[in-house]
Amino acid sequence: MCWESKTFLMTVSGADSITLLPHQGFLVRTQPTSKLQATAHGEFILSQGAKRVGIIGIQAPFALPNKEHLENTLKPKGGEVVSHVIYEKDKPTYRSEIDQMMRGRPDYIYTNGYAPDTVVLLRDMYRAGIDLPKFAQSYAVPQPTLDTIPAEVSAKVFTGQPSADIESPAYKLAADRIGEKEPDGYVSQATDWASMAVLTIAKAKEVSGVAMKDNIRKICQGSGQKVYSAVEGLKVLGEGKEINYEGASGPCDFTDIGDILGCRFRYMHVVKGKLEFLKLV
Amino acid sequence: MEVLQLIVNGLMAGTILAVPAIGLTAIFAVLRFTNFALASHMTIGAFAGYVANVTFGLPAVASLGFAFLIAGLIGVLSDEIVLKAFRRAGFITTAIGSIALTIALENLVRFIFGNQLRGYNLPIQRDWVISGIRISPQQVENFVVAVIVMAALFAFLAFTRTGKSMRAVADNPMLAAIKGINANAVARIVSFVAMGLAGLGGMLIGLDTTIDPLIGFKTILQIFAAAVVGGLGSIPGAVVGALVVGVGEELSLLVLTPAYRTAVGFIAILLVLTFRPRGILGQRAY
Amino acid sequence: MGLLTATGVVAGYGAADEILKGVDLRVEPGEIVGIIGPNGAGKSTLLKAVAGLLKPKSGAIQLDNQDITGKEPRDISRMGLAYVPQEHNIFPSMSVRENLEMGGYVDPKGAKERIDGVLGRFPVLAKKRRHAARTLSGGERQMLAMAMALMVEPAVLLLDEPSAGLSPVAAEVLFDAIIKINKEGVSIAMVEQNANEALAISHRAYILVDGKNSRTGPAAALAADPEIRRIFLGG
Repeated sequence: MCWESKTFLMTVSGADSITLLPHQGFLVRTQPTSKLQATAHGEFILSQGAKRVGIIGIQAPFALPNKEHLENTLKPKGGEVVSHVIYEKDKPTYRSEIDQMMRGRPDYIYTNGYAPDTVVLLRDMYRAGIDLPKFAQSYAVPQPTLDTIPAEVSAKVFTGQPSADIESPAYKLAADRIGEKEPDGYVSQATDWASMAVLTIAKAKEVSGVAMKDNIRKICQGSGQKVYSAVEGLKVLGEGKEINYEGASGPCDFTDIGDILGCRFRYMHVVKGKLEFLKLV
Repeated sequence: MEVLQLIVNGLMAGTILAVPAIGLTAIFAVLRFTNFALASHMTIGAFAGYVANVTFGLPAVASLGFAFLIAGLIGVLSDEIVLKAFRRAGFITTAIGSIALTIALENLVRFIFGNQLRGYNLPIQRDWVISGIRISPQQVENFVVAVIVMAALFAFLAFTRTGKSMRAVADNPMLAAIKGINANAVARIVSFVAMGLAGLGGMLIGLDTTIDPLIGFKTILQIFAAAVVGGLGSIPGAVVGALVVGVGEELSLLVLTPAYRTAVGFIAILLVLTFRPRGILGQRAY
Repeated sequence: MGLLTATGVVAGYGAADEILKGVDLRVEPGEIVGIIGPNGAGKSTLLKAVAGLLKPKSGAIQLDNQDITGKEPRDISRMGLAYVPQEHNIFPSMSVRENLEMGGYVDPKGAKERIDGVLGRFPVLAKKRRHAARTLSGGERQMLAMAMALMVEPAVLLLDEPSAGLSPVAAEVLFDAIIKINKEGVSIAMVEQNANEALAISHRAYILVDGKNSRTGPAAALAADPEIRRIFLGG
């Protein structure tokens, strides 16, 4: 729809398929694709010393691609996916699904769902006496959700999420602007969209979808002067120089089809029911 | 061994499912419509129990009583204020009206409590392993509660004047009116008991998992399937239907991927309606 | 004045639909009154109007000198009038004993004694007191329906085609039971298709045609009337 009406879209979706649509350049995303994410998760799991990964994930379009990317990352380094169970959302229990997954005798469990079902999974795994380390998407176990379950249930849970580039000056500027100490990845992405939109319009000297599509890569990547906010970028543009916007969520460099080239991942682990920072990759 | 474990899992799930399924079928037996507002009353019960358990610090079993009471009272009110007027317009209109009602009530709960997941104040225990079969203490407790509640309900229907008058209205409403049974009073009692059971069922499911405003909506299709499979309007049928759906869903994992579990309920409906259109136990109320 | 009197009753199922066009009915203490007539004459409708299931548009109905016109069935039942519908007159999934209990629902005091009394009168039912009513034979069901009506110890019993669908033998047993109930002091108004039988056991009878009284008189006299024999009694 957006390319048909020549409207420019910036999005936070991670589904691989989105940028594969015939969008003619009217779309960029600041969220890493499933592939980027799954590859990063795979590397994280390997770094924890795991070899045999059991996947248990919700029925969703990302379920299968995610498994493939994970497998592709693990295989060359001696790891493998030993079981893969896709479950249906909204069930009060997943005991039998967990039993199925455990039949592959994994040494690491990769969960891939949303909060309501991941909580059920964690409780049922605890009850079944499974004390293996478990990976979960950060949105599946936010702190408020962790608060609803006993600490022993969330022990050995690791989470990963595409991270804002918290070491970048853009991140600090955005944090000050928003008045929040640690804006999350989504907030950072949203501020980047606003900044990029303003800068693209300034560069194109025109407000239209077509102008946006033609000019966005001229302000956010390339060899121009690095800028970390829209205000700064406008000033430099005003001086007639080229710029390269570096965002709060990451470098904001896009491929031809609109995927970001790379981004940071932030890993946390749950200690006594609280999320604690582990590392940024 | 695997099959046995699946059957145990299914029986546990089915027994819990039976509690709200009885509510759905009881309302159908007496008021002659499928009250989908059962979903929001499960949610209301789950949250009433949450308030009792977490805010007031009552033990889980006492909180279950609270869940029953609040959901039952709201059931009577919502029927009196909203659904009673619909009933004159027929089955379909009332059933659709009940869907609208359930959305409204669910959102009311969301407005008060928010969307996030909540858990009851309960210690979590490891499963017991009995000759290779795993079973959780919480499941057993819920199972026992469900069985006691159902036994109490059957005793109520079999031995009390009020219970018998409910069965009479379900059996033959015209004759019940001739014999002087007040259909309005029976309607209120049925709404109270049925929605109370829904609330209790909502909390039982929540005790084993977590609760959010969608807890009722998520299970209503299974409950509907259970009631239809057992024979809509038949209370023992609802119990049988719930066990069939519960065990069937688990056993389906032997041949189907878990992603298609819900299909089992509908396959069961299809089979039963094809070969036994009145449900396994027919449409006898009791 | 009789025990039950209805005068000029006009009633029907819809606004434009008048099945009864001014019917009179009287039942004296101790009587069996037969109501016969062709299909669609309004016989069953008359019983429903008397029992309170249909509100008469005009006319007056009195029970024991009290006006019961347009009252609720439960109130009329409390005042001593019991009505047994032709069909669907039992609670099929409930036991025989529970059916009797529901029969006396309006008056729970002393119900146990009354149930024992009624079961004493109907040994067939006593034997099957724990059986679900749906398992009874047609004749037993009609017995049960009457037995339920007796639970309120009525002064007047209205029976709507009690022998419909029964074998001649079962009908015979049923009519014997009706006579017995009557001998115990219950007045009976009975609609019957089986006009011969009805006239045989009734004291008086009414013939309704097209929503109006056609003939009235002692049952024996009507049964002997050649014209009535020709039209209603098949010979």
